[in-house]
Formats: sequence, structure tokens, C-alpha cells
Amino acid sequence: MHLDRPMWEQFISYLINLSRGDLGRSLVTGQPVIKDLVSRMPATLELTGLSLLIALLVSIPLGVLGALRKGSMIDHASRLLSTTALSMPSFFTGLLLVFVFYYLLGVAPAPLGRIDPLGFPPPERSGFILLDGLLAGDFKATADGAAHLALPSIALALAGIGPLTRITRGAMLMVLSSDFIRAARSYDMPRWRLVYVYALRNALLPVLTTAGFVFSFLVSANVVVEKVFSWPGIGSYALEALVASDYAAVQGFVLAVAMLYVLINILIDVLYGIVDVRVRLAE
Amino acid sequence: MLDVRHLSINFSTRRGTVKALDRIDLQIVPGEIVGLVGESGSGKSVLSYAISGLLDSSARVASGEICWHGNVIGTIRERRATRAAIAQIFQNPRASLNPIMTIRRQLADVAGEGQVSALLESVRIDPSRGNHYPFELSGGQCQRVGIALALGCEPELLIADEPTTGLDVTTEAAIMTLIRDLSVRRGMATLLVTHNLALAAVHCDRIVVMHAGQIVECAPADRLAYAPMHPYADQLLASVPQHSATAEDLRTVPGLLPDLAGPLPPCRFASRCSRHQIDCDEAPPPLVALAPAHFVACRHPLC
Amino acid sequence: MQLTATLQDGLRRDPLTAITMGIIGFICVVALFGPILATYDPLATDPSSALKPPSWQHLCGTDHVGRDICTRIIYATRLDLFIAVLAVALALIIGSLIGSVAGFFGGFVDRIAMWIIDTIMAFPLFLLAMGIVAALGNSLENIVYATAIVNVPFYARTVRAEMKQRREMGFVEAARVSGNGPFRILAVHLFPTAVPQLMIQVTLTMGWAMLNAAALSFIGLGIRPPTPEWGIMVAEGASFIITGEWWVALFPGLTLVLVVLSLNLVGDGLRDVLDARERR
Repeated sequence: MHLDRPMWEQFISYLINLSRGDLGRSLVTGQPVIKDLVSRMPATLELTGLSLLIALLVSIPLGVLGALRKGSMIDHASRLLSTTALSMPSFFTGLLLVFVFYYLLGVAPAPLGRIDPLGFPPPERSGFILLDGLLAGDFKATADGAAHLALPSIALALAGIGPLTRITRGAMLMVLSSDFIRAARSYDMPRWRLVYVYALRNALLPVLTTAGFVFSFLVSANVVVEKVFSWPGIGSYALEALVASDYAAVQGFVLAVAMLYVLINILIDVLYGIVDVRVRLAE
Repeated sequence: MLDVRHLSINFSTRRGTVKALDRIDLQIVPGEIVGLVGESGSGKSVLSYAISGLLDSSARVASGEICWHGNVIGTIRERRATRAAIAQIFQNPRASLNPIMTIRRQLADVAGEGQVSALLESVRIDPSRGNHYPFELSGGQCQRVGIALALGCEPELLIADEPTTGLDVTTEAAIMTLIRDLSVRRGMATLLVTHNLALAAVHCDRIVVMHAGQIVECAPADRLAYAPMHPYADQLLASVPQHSATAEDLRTVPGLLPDLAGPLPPCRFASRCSRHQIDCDEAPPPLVALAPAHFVACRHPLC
Repeated sequence: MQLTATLQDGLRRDPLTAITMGIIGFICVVALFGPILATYDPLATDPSSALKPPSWQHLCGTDHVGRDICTRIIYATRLDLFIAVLAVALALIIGSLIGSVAGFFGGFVDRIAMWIIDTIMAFPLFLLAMGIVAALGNSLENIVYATAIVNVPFYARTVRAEMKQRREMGFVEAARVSGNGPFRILAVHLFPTAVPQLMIQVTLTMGWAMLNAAALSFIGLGIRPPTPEWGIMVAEGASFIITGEWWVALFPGLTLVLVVLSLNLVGDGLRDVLDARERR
């Protein structure tokens, strides 16, 4: 790694190596960093992706409901819920879930990774257990993978529910008091259509932007959740590397996260363009 | 058809209770075009929203009622027992359209897919523009779409709330002609809400003048334009720019609108009126007919 | 004067905020007078009474080496509040400076300042804090610095937005005309107008700063055991969750959640009161 050379020389040689796809070798695992990252990325993506999905599926209805029934008990309850979710650190949520669902109720598997240590993983095609299990027709493995995914993804999702619910409610309230909604009321538009097609679709625009920010926040919280559930993703990889001063691995991790971040933002921009025609057509 | 009787509406706000409307009496018969004229803050928009049923929940009807074909209707549209065929077009045409939907779809949502082309033609927009979005249309075109949407509800009463504010004069003339033509052809009554007395004088059969939540004068358009009897209506007419030869001649109505949340005198124009006398402060001036179809609420009218 | 009057009025209308402010007050008292209230030595080990469940002797039970958890929580409260307050204060000072200068002077200065802020915000902030502590070394100081750095952007942006909004207003022009130099205008006339928004940001980010610091200790970066700190205590208790000794991790965790929740609720309440006033 030429740590004895001056900074700028290190940087140049790093860039050169990068162009060849060489991210160095990890001190901890002995493997090329890029190999480590590629093998561990699907675990993190599956977890974080699922968490974002769960967060959206919970926050959007909650936010819409709060806006429609502003000031009611439901509104106050959902606001309290989202503020509480915002106040709970992911490590604590994870442990709490493990205690309740694994120790007390016995319905969840032990937090020891992606699948039962004594079981057999499905043949690796994409790296996503849920997908691979389905592709191989191995429903037992898929169910096992899903069971192991349940608690960590809920713990991580809770971190996203806080901001997403608030933004949805705020955006919905703003749209509901706008001129075109008042105009639509004057045309006697059926309430269902007014709220969901006219109002919600316009309110989703800021929600989409927030989803991008939430995803980056989840990538952070991911590190902690992966530690609690012994999840073999890039988060726990980075943690071990950080503690062991494994520079190459840490640099690789930073690069991977940055790329992930860029990809997600591109995806959000594209989705935004699909929903909001003005962005697409106005040049 | 429409009978507003002694309607008073208050709003509860942080500053106190805003007494926006005070004992409004207004009747509209089928087919007539009525102008509702007043400054900003005169309560004309509140009255038009009350009739349309678009007021929000902070509005309280303090007294009086609105009757449609003899049935009492409320100020919140969705809670009306019987649907009143009243439609509205709005002040900011672009903001009144759903920005992320084609105008074809918006029209179809209101009047059904089959009516779209007919409606667009009746407002003189080429039906092929149906696939455009509001941001691709000019202000005048957006307003025409707004009119088409309102017509799609097949209304008996069309309320036009400042439909031409913000549009240039040529477009204004075109829109007003369109509204008038449609009114005549469909036998539709129109309530034109505007601060522009000149506009109302040209296009309306009858004009109602409002000040600070009260109706002060109500007369046929030509009579009001030449011989107003209420001091406020007279001042309003005099402040129309066409009456001034030079900039120095431009006149305004002196004073400011009273604070509707504070204590109010019986005649709310009293503090700005040059004809104010002691008996004006005793009780609210009744709306009396001083000439055929010409009503004035003043104890000392000009005549 | 007007600000406190608005606050009092707002609090009267909103009992929830008043209650949560009370909770925070209580916690501050505990933090300040903690050692007097604590009955045990937070560092004293006693293997014979290890992993005892909550009882009258040990209200929150004992941990795996026999230390009283309640006492440790009290000491941890002191430490965590200290870290959060210090980090937020530091971030507030630096952020306000950057934000005011950027917002008021604009132009080149603004671009440089925003470049710094955007660079910090470009990366998931917790990971940045992790990296800073790992690079600088495990110590209390470095946790404070790392937490402060990742909080600077919020304050800088808030102050910058407020300054930009008010830069052209009449009272600024009046001050300029009466001979005040730019820095004086900024400090005396403009900056105070940003205080309400800043107060809201402080309450909202203080909770986040605490979560940050606790998470850093949980994963082993920063403060090391046996120092009592919420994150470390939860980490120590993590392995016992599976075997059923729930109190080791739960009590410290719950305390953390309660404090952060109270701070967030106060922040919300404050925002409702102050925003409503501004929007009138």
C-alpha cells in the first residue's frame, strides 16, 4: 500500500489501481477487497432494500391518514409513533425485537445470520436469498431466509418510518389545502379519487426525495443492525476493518457506499421524472 | 333560484373572531348575469365560496341561510343533503388545474370521456390539445379549461371569481365574451365576482356592491354606472382610471377597510364616509328600494 | 421579551410539551446531582451478585460483573448529556459562524462554505462519525469532535437560509445607513433573528447527537468499558438478551430512548409554537 510514500503519490497509485479494478487486499480476510465487497453486498442490499420497502408501506398510509384526520386521536397517535421511531436507536430496536420475538415468544430464529447455521443455503445465483430460493424451487430455504430477514429488516425500517411518516403527512396537508384540490372539490369529484389520485400523487413528490435521504440514513444504521444480527454484509465487514485498521478494506467500503448512494439518487431522479411530468417534458 | 337570506359568517382565528359577512341578502334568478363588486377584503370571495360550498371548517354561519330552489343548503359542499348545481371558476387558472395530469383526463374525470371534445370546442380550444399538460398552456387557455371543467358539471349557476385578473386585456375580453355567450346559450346564471367595477358594468345585467362584509348597493348595471346612490359606490366609480384625464386626477376611496376582528360600527363604511351623521351609528342601515330594482343601504344616500 | 411571552402562551396551550420539558428538567437534575443520589459505586464489581434481576436492593438489577445498573445509568446520563451538550454547542458555534458569513456576504465566501457543508453532507453522517473516531483514536474528546462535525451542516444551513432571507430587508439597510460596519450588522441586527429557528434545530439535533454517540460506543468506537455510558451498557447487555437477562441492556436503552424522545417532542412543540407565530 506504499504507506511510506507521500500522500499525493498514494492517491495517484490508488486511482491507477482503481481503474484496473484493484482495491487492494484486506488485512483481516486476506482476500482482495473487491472480492469481499462483491460477495457481501447482496446481503446488505437485500436487507436495506426490504427495510426501505417496509418503511414506505407503513409510513405512507400512516402519513395520509394523519393528514386526512388532522387533529384527531389517530393523527396524534401516528405522530407520537413516528417521533418515537425517530428516537429509538437501531441497535436497541434490534435487541428489543430479538428479546420479544425470539426469547419470549419463540417465533423468530436466533439472530445468527441470514439462514439457519445447520441448514443449506440455496445455490447462489443473485446472492439474494429470497430470489435464489424461489428460483431453485427451494421453498424451505426461502422461508428460512425470510424468517431470518424479518427482525433485522423491521429494526432497520423503524429508523426510516420516523422521517417518512412526517414528510408524507406534511406534504399531504400542503397539497390538500392547494388551489387545484379546492377546484376539484367544486367539480364534485368523488372523495376517493380526490384524495388518492389527485392529492396523493402530487404529495408523493417530496416523499420520493426524502426516500433517497432515508436510504442513505439506513445505510448508516445498517452497520449497527448487521452487528446485532451477525449479518454478513458490507456493514459488519467495514466494522471489523475499522477496528483492525484495515485501510484497504475501509477505503473499499467507502467507495462502495458512495457508489450505492449515487445509484440510488439516479434512481430517485428517474422515478421523479416518471411521476412529475413537468420534469420530464420541460427542457 | 338562489336565495341568500340574512347570511352572516364568522371565522375563528388567532386574532379573534373575524366577522366576514354581515346579514347578506342576495337573490339570483335563472339566466341573469350578476356582478359582485368590492375591494380586496370586502367579503366577496367569502360569499362566493359560501354559495359554492367551498369554505373550510373554520367558518361558522352566525345567522341566516342559503336556499337553493327553496331548499336550505350548507356552506360545506360535501355535507349538503341535496346537490346544488353550482360550479366555479377561479382566480389563478393555472393553479386550479392538476399539474401532473393531462387536461383530457381532468375533463374526463368531471364529465366523462365522451364529453371531452365537445367541452373543449365549446371553450374554443382545439380538441387535439387535450393531451397537453397545464404547464404547456397559456394563462388564457388554462382559464378556458377551467371554464370547460365547470361547464362539465352542467351547472345552473356559474360563479366566476376574478376570472380575468392576471390576464391581458385582449384575453380578458375574449374570456368575458365566452362566459357571456355560454350563459345565454345554456340558460345559465352567472355571478361575476370582481374588484373591477368597469368590467362588471360592461358585462353584467345587475351589480351588487359590497364593502367590509356588507352589501351597500344593488342596482341594474346601467343605473349603477351612471347614478350610484351609495357614497361608497360613488367613490368606487370615480376611482375608475377612465374617468381621469391625468395621473393627478386619479382618485381612490379614502381611508382603509375596518378591521373585521375588532369592534365594528353598524354601518361599516362610516369612518370613510363624507356623508356620515350621528344617526348612522345607531343601527345598521336597512337595504331599501329607492327606485325600481335599485336597493341602497344608507341613511343619507346621494339622490 | 416577546419570545418568552410567546413560549409561555404556547406551552399553556400544549400540555404535552410542558410535560416533556418537565421530564427533561428532571433528567438534568439527575445528571447534575447524580453521584449524591447513587447508592453504589458504578465501577465496583461484585461477582457474587452478578446478573441479579431487578429487586429492592438493585432497582435495575446487576450486570455480568455485579455492578449496580441503576447507578451506572445515572453516571451514564451525566456522561452522555455532557457529550451531547458539548458537541451541539461546538457545532452551533462553528455552524452559525459558517452559516452567517456565507448567508450574509454571499458570492465566493458562500460557495466555499457550501462546498465544505455539502462535502460533509454527501456522506451518510453516522459513517462519517465512525470514520473520524476510527482515524483520530478512541477517546471522549474524539467522540465530541466527530459528533460536532457531523452536526455542523444542520446549523450552518439554517443560519444561512435565515440570513439570506433577511439580508435585503429594510432594517438591515437602515443599520447600514446609520454607519454600522458589516460584522456589527451581522452580529447585532441579523443573527438574533435566526435564534428561534436555531433553537428548534438544537432540540431536534441534540437527540440525534445522543443517538450518534451511543451508537458509536455500541459498536466499540470511542468510549471504552468500564466507563458507564448508554451505548456501552447496551452492548454489554446484548449477549444476555438471548439468555433472558433482559435488564442489563433494556434499562440503559430505555433511558436513552426516553431522553431522546423528550427532546424530540420538545423540539416539535417549540416548532409548532414558533412557526405559527412567524406565519401569522
